[in-house]
Amino acid sequence: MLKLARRRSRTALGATVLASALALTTACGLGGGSDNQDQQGSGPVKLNYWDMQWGSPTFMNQIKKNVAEFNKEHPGIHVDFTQLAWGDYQQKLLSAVQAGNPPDVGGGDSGIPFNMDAQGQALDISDLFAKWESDGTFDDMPEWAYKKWEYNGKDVGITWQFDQRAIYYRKDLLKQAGIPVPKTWDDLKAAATALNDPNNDMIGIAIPGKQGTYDTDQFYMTLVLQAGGGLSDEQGNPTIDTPQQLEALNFEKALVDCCAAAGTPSWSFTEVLKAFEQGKAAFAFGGGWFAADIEKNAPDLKGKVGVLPVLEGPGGPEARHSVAFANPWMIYKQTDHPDEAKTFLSWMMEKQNIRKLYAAEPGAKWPVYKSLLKDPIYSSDPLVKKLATQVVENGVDYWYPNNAGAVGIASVGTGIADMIVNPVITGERSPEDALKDAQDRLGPLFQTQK
Amino acid sequence: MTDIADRVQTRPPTARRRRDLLPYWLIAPSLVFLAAIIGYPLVVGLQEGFKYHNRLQPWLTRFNGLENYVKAFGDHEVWVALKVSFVMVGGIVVFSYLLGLLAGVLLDRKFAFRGVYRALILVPWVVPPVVSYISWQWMLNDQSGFIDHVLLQLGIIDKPILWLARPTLAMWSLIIVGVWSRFPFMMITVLAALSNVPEELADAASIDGANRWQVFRHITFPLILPVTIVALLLQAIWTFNDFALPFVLTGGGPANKTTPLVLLSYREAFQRFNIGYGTSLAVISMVLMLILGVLYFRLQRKQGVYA
Repeated sequence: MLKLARRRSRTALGATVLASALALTTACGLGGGSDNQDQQGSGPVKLNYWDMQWGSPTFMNQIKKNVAEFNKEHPGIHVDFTQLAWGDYQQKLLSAVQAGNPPDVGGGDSGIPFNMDAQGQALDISDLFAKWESDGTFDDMPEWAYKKWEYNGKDVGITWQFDQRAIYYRKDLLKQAGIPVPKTWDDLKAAATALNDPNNDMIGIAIPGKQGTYDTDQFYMTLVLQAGGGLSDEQGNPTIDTPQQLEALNFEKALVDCCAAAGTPSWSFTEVLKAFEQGKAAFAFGGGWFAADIEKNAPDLKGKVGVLPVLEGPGGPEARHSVAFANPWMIYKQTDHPDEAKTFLSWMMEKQNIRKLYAAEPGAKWPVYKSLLKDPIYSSDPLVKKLATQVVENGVDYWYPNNAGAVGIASVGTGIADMIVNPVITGERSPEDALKDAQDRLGPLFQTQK
Repeated sequence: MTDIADRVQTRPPTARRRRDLLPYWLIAPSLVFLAAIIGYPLVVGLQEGFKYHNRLQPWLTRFNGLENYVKAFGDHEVWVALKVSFVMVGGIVVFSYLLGLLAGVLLDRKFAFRGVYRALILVPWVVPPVVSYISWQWMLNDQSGFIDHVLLQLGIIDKPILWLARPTLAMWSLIIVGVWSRFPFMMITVLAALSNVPEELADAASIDGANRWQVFRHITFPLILPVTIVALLLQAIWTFNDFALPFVLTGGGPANKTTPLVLLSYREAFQRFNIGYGTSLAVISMVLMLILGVLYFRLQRKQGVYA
């Protein structure tokens, strides 16, 4: 009896250890990963498509509807959609890659294909590029939508929408003051100075300047691009401590000193939008989504708000750029079904399919097809039309003009805000010192593979 | 009894060995689990601290010995972050202790609705930190923040105070919010300690002519001090490692003046993908906290908790 009890206890102990080990193994093995198991039977090929939470539930539902429509049209392929949260998607994707189960097709921020290529994970889709070039698709796109992704002799992704930035202004205030619409940096500074009236609760220009956010670098980078600068040279070396960046930084500092809110160093887009919607700012730098938000939350301003033309800075007319993040889709190299993944990507990029996404959230997603400018989505509202036109005609992002330093640019994080813009506009560092320090600190991130 | 002892003594050595090993087998699942969730990450983390490892530059990954640590100690940003960490910890711990002590002493007295007050004061502690930090961020906003609005309405100020846009004020904002969210813990600790102070001592001192302050200063306070010091140490460790407070409230700004070491470590590892360097900063934090941890355990032992 005693023996039996001991054996039972030993068996129970063994079972406990085994169960713990199994539980751990299972816990460690569970990833968010792609279901890349080979199709043993005659069922459809399964693809996993991961993408970001790009907008409202309506927009996300439209993505799901597009996926469902694709599945219906392609009985041999079944795509499962997974929505990623902005908070931790980079870690999730990098971990999935390391665990060997990334998605087959994915979206993400405007640098994700470069990051994935650095891990050897971006599938070269040059055959799709050749197809899009020959069938006229690229003729209908701004060049940056596809040129951006020609990287290291491969094509690592394709832009499906632009995320636009612009300077909004109060038409009525400019008219009252008899100030013409600014077209250059000097015009902007003069107009913002003239309209700045803190005693009457009016600031000249509202811009984000908070540390630790991605909002702050966007106005600065707009200025850098308009000064003819960028973040990398043709060899992929960082170009942070340059005369162009210094001009941009000096101008931003001067603008903040003369006519921005005293609290600018703690402002993100939230505060900028609030100030503008409350009628407390003559100019505001913001995202394409400002247009829809103003219409919804500040209907009194309807008709009083315009979008400035893309400004001419020290870089001259050739550098009249606005920041428009090119958001990509890409295929992961680990996919077991590259042909099916390409079929899916190609279908998603078709104009009539992508249009449904844009239509789901009018004024919040900006077109990758020039011909859609005539579509009522973008042509019915003058503000939206102006923004969409700027995207198509002037939109580039941080990887312009040289994507050779792509990985470094994608790794900068909030470094531009933390090391350059915020310390300078608070007066804690000189522009020269901040740029030199940023070049030294961020430089190693630009080392490329020899 | 003797019979049982004889039986045990006559049991074969293998069986005895098995019986001796039984406790180890019983704790084995927990050890495996702890090794997996604490030991393994710790070992990997320590290794990472000795590597150049950027997740986006895998081809450059290499063992670089103490390079990360040498770099860290020569890095101005790290020294600023350390200073911020200590100022934040000092400010929050001292003020939350004083406030907790005051609240604890007041709420130790018997009065109507004492339980309700005690429960209400606990609210800041039980609200999820991120929720309270976001709420504070709104309240401290210079544009339409509640605090500036009230001060303006009362005529105390004539223009908004830039709580989060000026370096010194931003640090004070961190400290105020930190104290608000932590002092209830100190209060509970003080209340618990006060409940162990024999009333007879205070009564005897009163009879001897001591006033309330003297009773508190010379009897109550020395008696509750050991317990509250332990709570102070814990509070210091938690505050040093509090990532959410500066991340949510100030983003580390302005001009890095509210970036503690834990936030700098996060930025390096997860925004610039410098896993190696970021980990070395985390290890430095860990070592500093280990010092406090050792102090904590020594005090605990002194008080007989682990005696």
